[in-house]
Amino acid sequence: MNLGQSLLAIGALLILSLTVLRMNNNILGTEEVVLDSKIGVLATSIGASIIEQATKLAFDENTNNNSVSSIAGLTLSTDLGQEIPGILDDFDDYHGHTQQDTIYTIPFVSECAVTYINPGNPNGSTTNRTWHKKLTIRISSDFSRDTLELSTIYSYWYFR
Amino acid sequence: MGFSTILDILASVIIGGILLTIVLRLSDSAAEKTYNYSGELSLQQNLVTIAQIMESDFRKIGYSKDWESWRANPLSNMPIFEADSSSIKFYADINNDGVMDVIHYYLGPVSELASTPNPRDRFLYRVVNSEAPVGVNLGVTEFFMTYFDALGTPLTLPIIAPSLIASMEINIKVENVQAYDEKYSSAFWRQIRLASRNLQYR
Repeated sequence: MNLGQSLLAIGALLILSLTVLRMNNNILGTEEVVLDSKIGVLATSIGASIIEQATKLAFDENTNNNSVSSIAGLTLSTDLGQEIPGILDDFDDYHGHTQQDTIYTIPFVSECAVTYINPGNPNGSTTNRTWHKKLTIRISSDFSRDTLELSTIYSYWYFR
Repeated sequence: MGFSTILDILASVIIGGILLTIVLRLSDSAAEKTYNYSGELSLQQNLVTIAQIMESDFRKIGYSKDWESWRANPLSNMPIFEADSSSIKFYADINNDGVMDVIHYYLGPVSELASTPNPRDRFLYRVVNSEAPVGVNLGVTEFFMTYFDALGTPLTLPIIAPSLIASMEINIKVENVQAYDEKYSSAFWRQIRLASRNLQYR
């Protein structure tokens, strides 16, 4: 085996090694995407559950038992959150609420925030009181690279 | 041909064999992964489809377009009238025509799908009124529910008083119907505390 043949053999081995590495890299990358997607489905189910629970509550602490006909009767944006710690009895009680769930051994942490919004700019928030509140939930897991964010808008209706 | 030449040939054959094995394993692995990832995609799509249909139906528990006549009906006090861990029967105006429908969800036995390679898959039936149950194999291997009262306390099975149900937790596990080398992938859905709007106004 002369030098030329040896070099060709080494080159061939190098190409094969690189191909194997690339294949493994691709397989592991796809595996990660599949896992992320599975965790994403579970995270979505948690987010949907929180939205489900929140939207069946009263719009505001002050609309729990009575109706409110002026926005001045609503809770100030600085006071959004649980009035009594641990008791979620109106929509904005989810502000600052953190929930931990474990589904099939995968731990999830959900962090919620509630803000008032202007109907003209639903993606933003306002410190003024309006008839619309937005709940944003960020769900993360140590097993996933991404944090899932879900949000919903809840409005208060009254007969004028 | 000298001894060293024979040694060279032997070494080449051995190294060639090893390389061939590597390439074959690589090819096998690529085929397996391609098969499994395609299966994974279908099973996740199946899971999402099941979850969407179920959520849509379950949210309508106790709903009627003609709510006044439904409210006057004594059955409206018990929109869920049969509930078990893997079966539920409830009233809902599914097609929004003012006529209440009876929806029945239940899991079929494993024996119904003995023909598929996966030994755990079952039919998840969704029967509306008195129509004949039609099974669609979406690879469901688990479907179980937990029921809660208005205070969030889990209700023990069997449920004797379904009128106490205020919310429920739905768990679904879906697996590939067939898989490469019997390595089945799975995906889960857990809807924690799905509360139908019309369950709270009994």
